Formats: sequence, C-alpha cells, structure tokens
Amino acid sequence: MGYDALPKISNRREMYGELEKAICNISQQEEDAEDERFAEGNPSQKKYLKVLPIESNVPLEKILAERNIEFLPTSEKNLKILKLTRDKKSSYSYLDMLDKRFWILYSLDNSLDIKKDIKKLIQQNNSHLDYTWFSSSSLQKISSGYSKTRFSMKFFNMFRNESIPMKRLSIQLSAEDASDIVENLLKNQYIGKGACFSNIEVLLSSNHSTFVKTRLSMDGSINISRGNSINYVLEFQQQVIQGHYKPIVETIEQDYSTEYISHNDGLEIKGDILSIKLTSKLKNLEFFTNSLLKGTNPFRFLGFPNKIDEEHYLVDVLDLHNFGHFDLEVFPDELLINLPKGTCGNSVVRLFTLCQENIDPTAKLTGGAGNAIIPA
Amino acid sequence: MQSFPPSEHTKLMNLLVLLGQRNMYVTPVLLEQGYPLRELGLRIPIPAFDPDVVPLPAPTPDAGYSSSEKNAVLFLEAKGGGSDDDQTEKFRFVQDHPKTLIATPNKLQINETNLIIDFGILCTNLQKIREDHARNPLPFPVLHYNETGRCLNPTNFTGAAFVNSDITTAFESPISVPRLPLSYIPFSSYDFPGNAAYFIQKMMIMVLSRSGKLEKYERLPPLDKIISQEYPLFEMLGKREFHELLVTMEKILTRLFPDDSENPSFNINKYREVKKGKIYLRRRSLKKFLEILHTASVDYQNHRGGTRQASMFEFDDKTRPAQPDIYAGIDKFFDPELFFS
Repeated sequence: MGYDALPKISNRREMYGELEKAICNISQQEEDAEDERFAEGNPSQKKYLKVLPIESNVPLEKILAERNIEFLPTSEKNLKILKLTRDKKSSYSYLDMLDKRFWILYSLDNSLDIKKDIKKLIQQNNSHLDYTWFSSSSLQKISSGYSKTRFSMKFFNMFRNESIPMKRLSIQLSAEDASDIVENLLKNQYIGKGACFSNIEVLLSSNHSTFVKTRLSMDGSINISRGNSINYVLEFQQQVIQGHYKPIVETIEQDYSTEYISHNDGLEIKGDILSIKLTSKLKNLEFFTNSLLKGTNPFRFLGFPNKIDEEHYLVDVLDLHNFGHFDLEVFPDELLINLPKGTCGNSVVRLFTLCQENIDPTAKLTGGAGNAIIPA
Repeated sequence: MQSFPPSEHTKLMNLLVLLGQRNMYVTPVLLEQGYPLRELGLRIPIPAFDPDVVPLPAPTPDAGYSSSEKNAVLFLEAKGGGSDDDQTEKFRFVQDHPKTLIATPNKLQINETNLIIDFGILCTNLQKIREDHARNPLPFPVLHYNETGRCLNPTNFTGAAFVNSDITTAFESPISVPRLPLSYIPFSSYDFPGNAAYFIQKMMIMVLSRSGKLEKYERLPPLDKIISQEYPLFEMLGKREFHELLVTMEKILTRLFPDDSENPSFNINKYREVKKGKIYLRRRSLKKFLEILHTASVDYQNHRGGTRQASMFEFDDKTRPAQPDIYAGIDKFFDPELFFS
C-alpha cells in the first residue's frame, strides 16, 4: 500500500512511528527507478521524507502565516501539525519546536510545494524566520566519515572573481561510494577552485539490516530517500543542528558580537569582530557592495555603502529577514563584520555560506584573533 | 558611489582599540605588556582642580588601559590636530594626583597604593600638533601614526617619556599597521557635520531596524532612545555634539512618516507593507526609498555646509548678512513628494 501523506498525530511518539513508516515505504521503490529519475533531472517526482530546519526568533503565535497555512495543536505544546491547503487539497506535516530557536519540520509533501510555502513563510514582512545555512565547508565536515553516495556542486562566480577560471560550475554525481571522487575533484586544478558543495548524500548505517540515506543541502534541508530507521534520521538531524549548526550560531552571538556598554563615565567594548577571509581578491568592490545590497535573494540585505578608498568600503547593512543591522567592512581579500550584541548570528552564517557559493568556495570565517569558527 | 571619509580621530580611535585588544591586524603591544583596554572616554571628575566651577572639570581621555598586577594605568589621547591646553593641564593634574582617578568607578581595576598613571598622545600630524602647542608644549610622549608608511612610530617630539618602563618597551620599535579596520569605531563626533548625510543614512537603518522589532501595536520610542539602544557608541561619541543631528533626523522622519498623535511624531510601521516578498514604505519599495534618501541627504549635507544655527543669530554682527537656519532645508530636501510620488 502506498504512503503518500503524513496523517494527523497527537504526540511525539506517534510522530516517530509515522515517520518510520514513511521512510520504510519510500524504500520500497526500486533503486533503478530512482536512478532513472535522477538521470532525467527530475528528482522531485520521487517521494522523500523531508526534514526542514527553520531558524526562529519568535514564538509560533507571532507568526503571520498565509491563509493556506494552519498550525493544529497536538497534546504536546511544542509539537504542532502544519496543515497546508493547496488547490482545495490538504496535507499534514509535523512541526517540532522542542528547540525554541531551531524548529524542525517533517514533511512528505512534494519538495517544490513545501519549499515554496516555507519560503513564503520565511520571506514575508519581518517574519523573524530564516533557513539554516550550511556552507560548503560545513557540508564537507558533517559528511566526513560517512560513505558519500551522492553529491552536488554548484558555484556561480557572481562577482567575477578572476582567480576562479569559470563563470558557473554545476556537477551532480551519484555512486555507491563517491568519497574518492569528491577528494579528486577538490584536488583538481580547474574544478577544485569552484568546488562548492550544495548538497551531500550520505549512508548512515552501523549494520546491514538498518540504514538510512540522507541528503543534507545548503539550506539545511535533509532529504531521506531510502532506509528503515527513524532513529538514524533523528540522530543525524541532532548532529547537524544541535551538534554542528547551533553551536556555531551561538558562538557567533556570544563571542563574536560586539557590545558597547555605555556608562555615565565612559564606554566599555566587549566581544569581537568577525572576518570572512577570501583566498583570492575581489576586483570590483563597488559592484560587490551594490550587488550585496540589492535587497533580493539570496543575500536579502539592504543598506548604504561608504567608499573609504578603492579597496576599502564601510557598509551599513539591514537584514530583511529579521531587520537586524550590522556594520560590514569590505576589503578585496576580507569582509569584516561588526555584529551588535543581540543581532541574529544566522545573518553571518548566511553571508558566509553565500560568499562560498558566489565568491570563493575556500573562504574561511574566523574570529577577531584568527581562530577559525567554520570549518572548526 | 558617495564617499564619506572618516576623520583622523576616527582612524586613531580604532588604532587605540587594537593596541589593547586581541586582533588580526596590529600587534596589541599594550595587551601583551599586561595593559588590556578597559574603557573609552573615561570621564574623570577632578573637584580639586577648580572647586568653584560647575559642572566639575572632567577630562575624558580617549582610551584607558590598566594593569591590575602592576597597579598602573595608561591613558592615550587620539589627536588628529587641535589644541586643548586646558585638557592637557587636567591630564597633568590627574597624573600628579592619583587619588582623583581612584574616585571614579573602578573599571580600571586599580588601587591607590603606589598607583602610577601615564598619559600619551597618538597623532597623525606632528606639524599640526607642534603649531597647536607652540606656546605650551605637550608634557606627554607622542606616538605618530604614519598612514602612508602603515606604522605607528615612537617620537622624541616632546622629549617626555612614559613613567612606566614597560610602556616605553611596548612602543620602542615601530608597530606595523598593515591594515587599519574601522569596524570597532566606525565614526566619531569629528565626522559631523561634514558627513551629515552618512549619519542620516546610518540613523535611518537604525530606525528601520528598531521598527522591525516592535510588537504589532507598539510605538517607536523617541529617536534619541532608539539610537542609544541600537548603537550605544553614538551616546559615547558625543551625544551632545550630535544633538543637532538628532533634531534634524527627527524633523526628517516626522515629515516623511507623520504620526496622527497630538504631539508631532513619526511612525514607520504604519506605512510598511509587503507584497511578493518586497518591502514597501508608503507604497515605495524600501530599496528605492533608501536610494532617494541617499540623494536627498547628500543634497542636504551640501546645503547644510553653508548654514549656521539660527539661535546664534543674536550674537552675530548685525552688519553681516543673516545666514539661513540649518533646519530650513529639511522641508525642501525631504519633501514627501520627492520620496513617494
């Protein structure tokens, strides 16, 4: 029997049971058929269980959702059912808010549909919601130690970085274990310079009988294409969000934001600034700052640039995701970020991830004194 | 693209921070000698200096570093030029009367016993300092920041030396400054009014940011509160000097986003809406609005360059032609018609 949609549930235990059923059902499909679809470039036809993290700075009650979105209660306060209505048909997904900052949405809906609805939710006026952002280096770090069964690389030389000899790079590859291929591509003189991972699929298994194939993407979404164990999914999701992403955002907010404590008799500076180090030089800083401040995807920043000299710009940035603001200082080989205390660290991770995707896949995010944060 | 060059003072302030804090750009020689940066603009009231004066004389050296272990303090003053003999005298007084410093809240983590206080000057233009202090030579050591040569050098300019030998050691060789970031202190009161447009734009970002954090029916606080909360640096770097700027900005906002309350005020959220993921203010896209604001504020800055405070007129020579009020251009340059039609 098919398992096309997730049913209503009333608690977390039921949710896990339903998710495991969904994974097992997906696995029943023939691998050949899956490969065929992949080769045709139409992977959305295939059913995946999707795990979509959402970074939130507000409680659910304050979210202004579109009319087709409803949050239904369960017996647990921090578990909701997300009811989506499209073309008079409704579907259910599960929204787990056990972590108030990083919500997890589980869905069996069509990838394009659910992502479109989530995008609307995130990008509406002052939503205080954002995606989680996994840089190429983060994806590599998380996937190290696992068999890589599939990966995609995507690089768009948006700011005409001349030291990278390509305008665009797009590679999608699947194999029983693609780990060696990944290593070889990274070492390749030509491709290596633009080798920016946009997703990596790994096989999670400790024995032959239980396993899961999960694909982690740049926007934090995890697609489960095959398997039979919800425990692996939960462990992986925990490792990705709680073990990797959350500590990075918290470190940025706690240690690498600046606080100017004003007393009646003076001012104390606490914290530190952040640096995105580029291994190659940006040639046209004016073009870069103007592009950064367009207010459109993917950066979603607005602001004012101040040209100090040809190789030095100071920029006031307003993040349209949460209306936070920060100072950005742009040099040809470095971006400095002065993040005021209380401003969302997710903005920095987004900027860094997009710098890897659009300027330099080997860019590094470091703290003021040079100790690396990403990759750890 | 518009350029608002920072003042020499702003650059030196950033250098002062880097000398006492871990960073990637300049060797933090003071931190390495055990003198971390503790406080910027520490106000030191000195009642004994001139007991009859109200308010009390209170010098505010730009940066204060201290070593609890050595019970020693160093104050450095950033000087882009400009004479202040009175302040020099006060610094000297504090140096000779350590008790004065102990009376301040003890953020310097020091005690009165055998406390040694050092003062020093950081400057970019030795010639200017020489001219400014021709009659009363500076009694403190001077360090020279050579921007072209990208280094901070010790000088024998005044012949004075630091009292603490470890501070002399810290500065005995030139300190390389391959890159001087401005992120720590992006502006100072010395940048105003020359860069008025820069501040108007910066304030607009702060106001927008604050408006986005409000609850649905919450009202925006007064502008000075918004600025102090969103950018506490503003308060420290001369809230008094920026007063004129705050009044200007309040007038601009009230003109562009009038509130219906009895007291003329402004309200951004009332005019904000989102369509297809784009943010609009009074049906003008936010991006376009900021572009118009940029042009208007630069025009206003150019106009403002030749104006003076209206309240000063009574002291002016009546024979001189009256100068326009500095606020007079606001209605013209920040006309809602220009922004929203």
